[in-house]
Amino acid sequence: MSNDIICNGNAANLPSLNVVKTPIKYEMDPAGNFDWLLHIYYARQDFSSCEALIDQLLDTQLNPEYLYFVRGQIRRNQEKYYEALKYFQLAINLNSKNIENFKEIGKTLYLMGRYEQALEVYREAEELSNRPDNEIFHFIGEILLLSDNPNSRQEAKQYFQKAVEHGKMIDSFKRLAELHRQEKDYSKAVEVLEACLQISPESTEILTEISVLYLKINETQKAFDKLLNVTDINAGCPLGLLAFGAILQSRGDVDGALAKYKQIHGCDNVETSELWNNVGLCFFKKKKNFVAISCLRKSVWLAPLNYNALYNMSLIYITAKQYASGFHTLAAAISLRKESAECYMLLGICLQKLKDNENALLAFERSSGLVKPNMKSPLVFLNSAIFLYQMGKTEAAAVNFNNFVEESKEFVLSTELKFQATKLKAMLQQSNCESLVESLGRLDEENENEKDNLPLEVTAKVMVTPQKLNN
Amino acid sequence: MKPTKWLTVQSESNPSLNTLPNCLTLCDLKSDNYWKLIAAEIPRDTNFRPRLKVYKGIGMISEQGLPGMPSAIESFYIEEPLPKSPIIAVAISESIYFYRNMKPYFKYTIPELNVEQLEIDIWRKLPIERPENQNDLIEQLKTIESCRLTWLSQKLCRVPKDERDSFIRQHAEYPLKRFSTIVAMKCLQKASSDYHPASCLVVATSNSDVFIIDTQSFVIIHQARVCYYQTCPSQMAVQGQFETDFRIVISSRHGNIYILHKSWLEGKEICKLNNPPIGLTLLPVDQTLIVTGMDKQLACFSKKGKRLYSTDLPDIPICMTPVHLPHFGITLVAIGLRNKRVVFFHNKSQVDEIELTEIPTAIIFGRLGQEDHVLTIFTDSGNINIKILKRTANFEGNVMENKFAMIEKGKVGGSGDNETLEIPKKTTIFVEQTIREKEHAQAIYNSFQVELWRLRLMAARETVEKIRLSDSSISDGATHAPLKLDAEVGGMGPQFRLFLSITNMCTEREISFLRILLHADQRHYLVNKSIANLPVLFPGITLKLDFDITAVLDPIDKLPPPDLTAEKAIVRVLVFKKNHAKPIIAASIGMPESESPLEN
Repeated sequence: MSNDIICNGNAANLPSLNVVKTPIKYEMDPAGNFDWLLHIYYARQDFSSCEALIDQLLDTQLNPEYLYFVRGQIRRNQEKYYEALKYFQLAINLNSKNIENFKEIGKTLYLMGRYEQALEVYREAEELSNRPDNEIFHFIGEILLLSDNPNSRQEAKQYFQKAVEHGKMIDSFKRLAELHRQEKDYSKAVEVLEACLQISPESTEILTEISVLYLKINETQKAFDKLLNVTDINAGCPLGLLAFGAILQSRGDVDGALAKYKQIHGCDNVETSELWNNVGLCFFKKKKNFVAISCLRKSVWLAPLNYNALYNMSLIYITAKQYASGFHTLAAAISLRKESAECYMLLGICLQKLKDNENALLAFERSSGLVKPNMKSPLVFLNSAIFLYQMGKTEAAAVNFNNFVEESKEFVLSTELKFQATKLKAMLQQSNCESLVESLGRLDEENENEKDNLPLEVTAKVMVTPQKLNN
Repeated sequence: MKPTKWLTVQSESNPSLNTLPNCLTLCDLKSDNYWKLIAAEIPRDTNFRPRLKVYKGIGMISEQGLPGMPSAIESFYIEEPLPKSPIIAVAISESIYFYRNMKPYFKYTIPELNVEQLEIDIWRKLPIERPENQNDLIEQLKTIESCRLTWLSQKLCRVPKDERDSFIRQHAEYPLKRFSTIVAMKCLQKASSDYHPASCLVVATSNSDVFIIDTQSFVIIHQARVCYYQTCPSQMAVQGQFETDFRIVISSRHGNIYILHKSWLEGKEICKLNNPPIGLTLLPVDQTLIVTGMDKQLACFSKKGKRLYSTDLPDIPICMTPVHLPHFGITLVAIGLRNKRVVFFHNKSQVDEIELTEIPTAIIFGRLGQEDHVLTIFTDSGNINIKILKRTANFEGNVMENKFAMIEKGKVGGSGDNETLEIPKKTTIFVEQTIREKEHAQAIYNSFQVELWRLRLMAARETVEKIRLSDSSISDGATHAPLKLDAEVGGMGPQFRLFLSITNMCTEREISFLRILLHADQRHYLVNKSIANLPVLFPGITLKLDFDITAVLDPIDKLPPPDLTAEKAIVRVLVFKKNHAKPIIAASIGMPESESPLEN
């Protein structure tokens, strides 16, 4: 070696220092693997670079599994599903134990709408996988949900449950909560979503959903807190704002509610029937009947089959003394829900005002006949009693009045209502006096009552929207 | 136009360098307190040779070829007497090349992986087997997953059949070795010391191993697995000191994120993103983790995988780097976007933005030249943009300002003051209608009722008329038997199929001796079987029948005959009882217009 040093005449070798003497010779490593580079390009969504790199590497790289995998993903991105499947299959041929390949095939089949096949692939992947993979569970659940079979629904639920236990995919939580909600198991659904919030505390979607559920189980304060959170995080979340407005409205803070609705209108042009229904009710509360009617008309125009909007509209029509329009709206509402006692009651009032006493009588009879023991609607009886009394049917009126007293035992009645009731009582005893005044007062009072529980019904409607989106 | 916080260094040369964020490092190369930028070039064409380049400012001062495609480079110091000079480590495939003063002095190769016993056996047999038996052995080799084979076997599987023998003879003595590839490399300080602390290297391999390598003795001082199952890392971030405490966060190619603490032998999965991230960084302050990925989101996770916040990015992120600003006590994140911008985020609010003329592909922030806070941006055409943070720059006030800017853009919902609900307009007609209705509600209602009754009366009259002509789908049960007939026409023409269903509506009596007759104009429709005897119809049972009907088309122009009008295009169906002249049901079925026959 040239590095030998002469010391006292003897040749001594220097201890090897691992010094690279010559510049490292350039030669491509035969096993050179550029998967990592390809992955970086893919993650940047620089698909043209990916394709160019794959073209270069397909001939040289000894294990092209990942090349096929990425090409499959790109093809799927371009909606060339058959080609994507072909490449994923090539990847599987090289490595039949990589679950990711199976998962991608399943995903592609799912996108193609071939749910049965996708399900098969996922089940295969589930068997192959040596660990509980929440993604597989989630997708199996997702596909099972699409089936009409009620058993597969239960199975889907189990899979989502498993997905939630083994992973932190927010979609799995959402689906599981939805299933619980559809089974009317609200407390379970809330539980699931609360667990989800532990993982993703700032997800407005989850927060909105959970607050709606809290409303369902009458935990208004908790719902309110969550919604406050939503609007804190994202002031432009339409669903959150709508629910928030509805709560404010139900608490009587009409201006606050209107402000929230204005914000919804501001963030983007979401026109929903529910929004205009609520806005209309706000104006109604402010006694601006005219504006209220035009808002509700818009609501009905947006969703002609929205029972709540129709009902509210007819209520306002009656208050605004537009009985003919009220009659038509009620007819529409009744044809949607034939079992609603309140609707028939309003119809009775309407017909009475239109001097069609015969039909009014029929309507009142129908309405009091539809009242079920747990419905708690003393108003129906009171209105029937007043009408019957006016018609001179004192005995029938007395029966209805007694029913009213019975029904209203558990309620704290408003002063207006009490006033009308005592008045009627007195008159029933006298049974010869006529009063027209009371029917007017009666209407007003009844509006108050309706409005108090309507926004809550409306929030129930709010939920419909996310459901639609998911399906 | 708000004042910019950055000074731009004018660049006139065109360096044309394609690189990646992991292949950039800043260091005081010559120990002259003038910091240089070292970048590894990644050629677009893999046949070109990658190069390691040193920049002083924007000018390149040295360049040399690399022995392979570098996946990461790092610069660090080792324990030695002052003045220390920095070491550059370049990770290529399974090796790390160490450079001092830009001269390579050591090549470290990570431990090799196990080779499958089956593969060893096969290779022992292959050279001594006859060529005709080699194929079976190769087929056996193929039963092992391709990624678990050595490169030699992988190659053998791809060699054409006639060359196999020579290939085997040529490589018979070759040692079977299998290596994983280094996919990420970061340096980790050994202990916090005042000046130029010594570091070790953290290396993640494609076989999901993590090695911590001492940079002086070149031994592995800690070894761990990324996770209990096989995964492939892509990005890595390291925080802490080796001797006290440290955390390694690794993202996989499929979007899983794993965390690894000191003395752990196996990492733990903390969360799974739907898409693989392009950038991953650990914030020093509260130990949170920031990732951005393909879904155009910037998300922050706690160490336990809690998604603390996430915010949307305006476009697809390309590269990301942390921006440590110790004099403000904050760490920003700079993200290069597809829309030719670099945006800066502090927590979830965007605090600044730099506009470029090209797409940024790699960015690095740190000391460069004699400036402490310099952002170096490489663009897709290879230009370098250097931005120096002004000393007067302050990011605190900007958060608010930006928020307002976003409100203006309509990103964040308005404050509500200037928003108005577009209440539907009230037209005069609408108002007049309302007033009229209030006054004449009863009249309107009455006229409606009158019209309604009139309508009902008309309907009733028509019904009576139809019954008189027995032209209805339900027979009157008074004289004969209550039957219901439904008809449906299927097909596009000229072949139609008429589906009939006949139901006995009676509750107790069965009906027998029924016949069905189809009648149509011979010039327009041909009916194959125009009469049929029906079986006994039991109450509530629906009988389903179908008949073939062919529309007559002109043989030349394939059009229906000209005298076939819509009124005439009917087929009459008559159901009657044997020996009764009057039909029980007579229905006219309107036939749809026939399409011309399909040409095969």
